[in-house]
Amino acid sequence: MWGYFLSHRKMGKGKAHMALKSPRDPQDVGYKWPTVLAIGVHVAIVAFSLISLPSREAEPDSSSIVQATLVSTETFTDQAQQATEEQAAMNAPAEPEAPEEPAANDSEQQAAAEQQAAEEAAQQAAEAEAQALEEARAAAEAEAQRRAEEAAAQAAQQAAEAAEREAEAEAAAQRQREVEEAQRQQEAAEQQRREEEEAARQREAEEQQRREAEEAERQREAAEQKRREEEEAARQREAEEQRLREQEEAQREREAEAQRQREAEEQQRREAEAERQREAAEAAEAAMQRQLAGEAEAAANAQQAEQAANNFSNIMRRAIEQAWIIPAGSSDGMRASVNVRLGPSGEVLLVNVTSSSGDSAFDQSIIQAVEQAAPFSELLQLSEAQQREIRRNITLNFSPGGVR
Amino acid sequence: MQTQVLKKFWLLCLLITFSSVASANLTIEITRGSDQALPIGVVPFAGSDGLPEDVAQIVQDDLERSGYFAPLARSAMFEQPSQSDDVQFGTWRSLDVRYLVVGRAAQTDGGFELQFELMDVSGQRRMIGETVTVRGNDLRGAAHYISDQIFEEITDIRGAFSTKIAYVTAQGVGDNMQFGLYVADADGRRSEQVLTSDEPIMSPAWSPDGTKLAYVSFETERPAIYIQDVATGQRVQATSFDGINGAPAWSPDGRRIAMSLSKDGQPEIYIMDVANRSVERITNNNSIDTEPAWAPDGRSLLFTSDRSGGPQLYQYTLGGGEAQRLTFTGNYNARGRYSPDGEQIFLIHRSSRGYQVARQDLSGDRLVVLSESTRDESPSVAPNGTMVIFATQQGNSGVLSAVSADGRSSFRLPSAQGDVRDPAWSPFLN
Repeated sequence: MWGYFLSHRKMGKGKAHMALKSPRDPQDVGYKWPTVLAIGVHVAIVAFSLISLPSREAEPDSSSIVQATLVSTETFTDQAQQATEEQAAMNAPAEPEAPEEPAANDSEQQAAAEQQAAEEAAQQAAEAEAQALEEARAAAEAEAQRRAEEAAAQAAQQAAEAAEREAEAEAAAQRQREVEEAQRQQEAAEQQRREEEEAARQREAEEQQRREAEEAERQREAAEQKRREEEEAARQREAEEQRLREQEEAQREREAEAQRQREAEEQQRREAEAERQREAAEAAEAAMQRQLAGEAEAAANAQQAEQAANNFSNIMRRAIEQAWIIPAGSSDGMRASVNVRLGPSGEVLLVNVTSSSGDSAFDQSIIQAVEQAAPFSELLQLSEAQQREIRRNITLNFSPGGVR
Repeated sequence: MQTQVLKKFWLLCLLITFSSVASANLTIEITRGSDQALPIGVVPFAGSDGLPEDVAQIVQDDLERSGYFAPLARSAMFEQPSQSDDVQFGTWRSLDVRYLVVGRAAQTDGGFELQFELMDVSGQRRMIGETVTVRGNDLRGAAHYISDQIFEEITDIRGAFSTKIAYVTAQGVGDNMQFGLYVADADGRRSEQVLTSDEPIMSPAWSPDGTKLAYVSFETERPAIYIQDVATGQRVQATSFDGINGAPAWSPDGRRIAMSLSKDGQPEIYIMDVANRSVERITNNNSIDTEPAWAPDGRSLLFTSDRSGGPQLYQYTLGGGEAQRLTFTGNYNARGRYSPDGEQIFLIHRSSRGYQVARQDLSGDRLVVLSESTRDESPSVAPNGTMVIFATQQGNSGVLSAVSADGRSSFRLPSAQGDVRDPAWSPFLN
């Protein structure tokens, strides 16, 4: 079971390292000796531990040794893998305690019945171990020192041998590496190519994606633009409609205003008209009132004027009758009319026979009668208006109806 | 309310308009006039002193006698201009003179020269003016001529101042009576005896040309009609029929004389041909028909007949039918004479007051008495129709009088010697 867990753990570590180490340059040959040393130390520790606690620790140590052997074997088969294994091994001392605590926990789960005893034994063992450990550490250190020296010597020898082998191996490895390198380079190139292809593909994809994105973006933008345009158009339409509405509104406002204005003007006009009519009516009424009120006076004046005119007419008539000498032999049926124009003082300016009697003496008598009766100074007693009217418009009709 | 006010207002305006229109033309009816004569001033002609006649006075008298004029007394004249340029119209106007006559007289070789001007004082204008040359000493004739001009200028009627009258006088009593036929100026002046007789002279009649007189003379102890040349005095007996030969009347053409003859019994109207003395009987009945007169057109005769019981005037149209009675006023209308225009007749009408000169328009039967006197006879019409001269009785003496055709004026002619009868006004002589 442990093997499963360890392998599982190593595999997990290896994977992890591999993932980490993959880019590292594989020139880790310098660590070979320390690694061997470290392995040796570990072996020593394990051996010591197995001696002191063979029941419990034997299995793990053996498996560790076996495992170590396997590693070494594997080194030949797969250099890269070996390196990885070495790397993994090299990392192991950095965390010596780490697998132990989980092991303890595991054992607790696995052997609950043994837990108490184990704990006691562990307590003892821990104490002993601590003691032994101290001693062992010192001995180990000395041993290690010595072994290290031996190992160093051995290692030197081995190293020399190994150096040869190494050199061969190195050469082979070099070749291998070269091949691998070539392969690797090829692979790398391939990888690179693939990667490049991948990258190209990715770029292509990215480009595509980008293009698509751009397209999408463009479309989006176009859509957006369109939308914006539509929105703009809509907005413009809206604005236009708004403007139109406003215009209409303004128009309505203006019309309403104009209507109000017209109505106001109409109203004003009507009022003015009404006022005018009222004033006219009042004026007419007032005029009539004046006329009526002054009717007596006006009538008196008119009567006076008429009387004056009548008086003048009578005076003129009497004067002319006085002056008219009806010619001897005139018949009663004779008729004649004259138009008379008077001067400002009532003097006769013109006597024009407008309708002759057919008898020149009769006509002459009329003319002479008017001329003889003149001047009609009574004209001056009339109003100027009457004078003006009368002066140029006097008609005298003569017919000898009687003799004075 | 308003409408009524306006209505009233317009009515008022209308009334005012009409009243002003009515007053705009002053029309006066003149129906009365004066029948007075026209005041006229005849200023003594300058240079008249020492002349045989006062020409201005003759003119003034002529005009006054006509009845048309009332001359201003010379004593009232403040000034005596002799030409129109010197006339102050105001002065004459203030004297109420309508017309003014001014003139000058001057003696020339073999005669005189008269200048006169007529002015309308009312109209302040000169009407006519003329220079009259007088041969011999006929200043009166010149004066009458001037009168004629003035009269005609003012009245539009031809003056008849230069005409003559013929009349008969009777002087003495019993067997010593003397009858004379006289011709005088129309004013009665300058009378000349053209015939004298111990027997009565009656009914003188002027020939149309004024050169002859026909008359009835009893010088043969029977009435006979004579025709005498006025200028020469030559005379002929025109008729000597048995019975009455009377009332001669010259036809307008002077070739015939109508007369009354009783040779066939009752006096009847005959027409005698002057040239051959033949007579034509016009009337034929049992009544008295006498005193014929010719219508101015010579187509009809006017005569007196008692066929209706009393004397009345009839008109007989030559060439046909019965005589037609004209007068119906009163029971005595005789001695009819036509006016020159033939539209009127003048006659002697016996009214309640007596025998008077009357006038009747032929268009009607209304008769107008003209004279004031009551024993009038023998009217004779002036050739211009303005006057009628007639004989009337003043006391026991017959005198000549004249009345205007309209009866408005009359005058007495200056008394001739004796009893004056049968005046006959001559025709126009020039």
